[in-house]
Amino acid sequence: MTATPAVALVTGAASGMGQLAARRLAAAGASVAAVDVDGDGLAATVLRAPTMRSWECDVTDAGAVEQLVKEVESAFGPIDRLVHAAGVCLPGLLAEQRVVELDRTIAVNYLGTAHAVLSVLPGMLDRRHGEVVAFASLAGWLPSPHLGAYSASKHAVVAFMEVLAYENRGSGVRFACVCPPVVDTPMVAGIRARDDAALAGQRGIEPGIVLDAIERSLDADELFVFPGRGTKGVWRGRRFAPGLIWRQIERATSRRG
Amino acid sequence: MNRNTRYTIQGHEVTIPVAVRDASASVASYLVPAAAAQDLIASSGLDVAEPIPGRAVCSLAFMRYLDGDLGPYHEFAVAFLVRHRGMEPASAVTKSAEVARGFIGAFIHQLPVNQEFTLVAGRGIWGFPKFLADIDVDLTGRGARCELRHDGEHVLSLSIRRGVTIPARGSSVDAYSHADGVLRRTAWSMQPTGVRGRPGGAELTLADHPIAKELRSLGLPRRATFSSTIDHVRMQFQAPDEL
Repeated sequence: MTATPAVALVTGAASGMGQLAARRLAAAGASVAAVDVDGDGLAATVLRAPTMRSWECDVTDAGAVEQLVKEVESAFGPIDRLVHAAGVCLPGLLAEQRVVELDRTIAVNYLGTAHAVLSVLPGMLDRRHGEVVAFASLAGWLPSPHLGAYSASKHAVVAFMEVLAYENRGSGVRFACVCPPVVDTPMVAGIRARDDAALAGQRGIEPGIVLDAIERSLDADELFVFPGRGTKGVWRGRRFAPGLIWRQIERATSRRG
Repeated sequence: MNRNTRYTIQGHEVTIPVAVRDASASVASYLVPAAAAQDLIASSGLDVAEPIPGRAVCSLAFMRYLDGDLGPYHEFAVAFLVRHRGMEPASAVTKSAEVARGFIGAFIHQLPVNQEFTLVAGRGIWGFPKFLADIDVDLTGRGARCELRHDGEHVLSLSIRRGVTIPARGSSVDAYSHADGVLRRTAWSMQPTGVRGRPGGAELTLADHPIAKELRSLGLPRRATFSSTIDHVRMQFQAPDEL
């Protein structure tokens, strides 16, 4: 098992995957900086957790993220693990999507990842030690109808993390790019409420399964994390038989009318 | 009975019942010599339960609390099944029947935790024998592993292999605790999901710490009678009765 990081910064910590990641790290005794734009959610995350502190910060603001990392490191010491879980998903058909929604999706999901990762990375490279966990999605490999904006932003995260890991191989810093299928979180509940067709009737897997898979990948120093039974098979299908995957998507979406 | 319904712990108001909304638990239970177990809990004034004449049940458990009124933390418990306070001395057959009917309590003998808030709350509200320790819990593999250290000294390691799925059902038990000469009884209910269990299935390594020595006095490490893992459990703790 990997040693519990002494200091962790978790974005998207007000709910869902980020909240659970922050709580697991705090339960294990890590000092955790819980970061989000949702102050009420953050208050619930850090409640009665003596080793956690919350910071309200918008990851789309590069300067604010850089300042955040400075503040966290002066409060807790060097960050050993970044868990970047902040993300948005605004489903809809691309032809009908408002440009501001496309902009926002890219700003939070892709640029937010870049801002967070690039702010913690120099220190980790100096120390030759650290773990960078960024949430992409299986949608970062598999373009999905009604999830075009989201899927494009997560493809960018996949590319960013793959290049970053390659450029920093042997640096002592470990990278994990998490590509889960649908996970049972408030974000997915939001997608379902706005555009049910986007999920094609898929039921979400348990968030804990995703976090367990991340720990195993960090242990094994594997970049891509495909949590959940069959997830890696879908990923292989997309790579080697893209036509087949589209036929399956069509069947799944047409079955639902 | 005049019970508190709220407590102030480190400036936070904690209300009764104290709720745990999500935790994971891993438990190994052992049949141990009743006389040795009775020696360890003698100061509480309680008697160990004896499912089999001359044998008591000692359970070792490690918990990961994620969402609850006492915050996120890890915990390790050493507990014994006990006869309820005030029960008359009874024959071996009667004592064994008490266990079979579930008419027994759980005495919490040791309860190290790794976070300050739950330490203060647990001691202050229920007199639970909490103290600070380092508790590593790994639930990411096919089993569960825990390593307990106290004051930088290794105490024990416990690994529990996954068993077969068994039906999960809610239960309630009286938890007994003994602190500063006061015996307390706390109604504790739980609703587990994702329960797996099997006979044996636990591997215990004991170091030289006093807690490890206590467990050695019970004849541990030995084969566990039963071990189980619980993916998620919700729990409620009422205010204690002072006995």
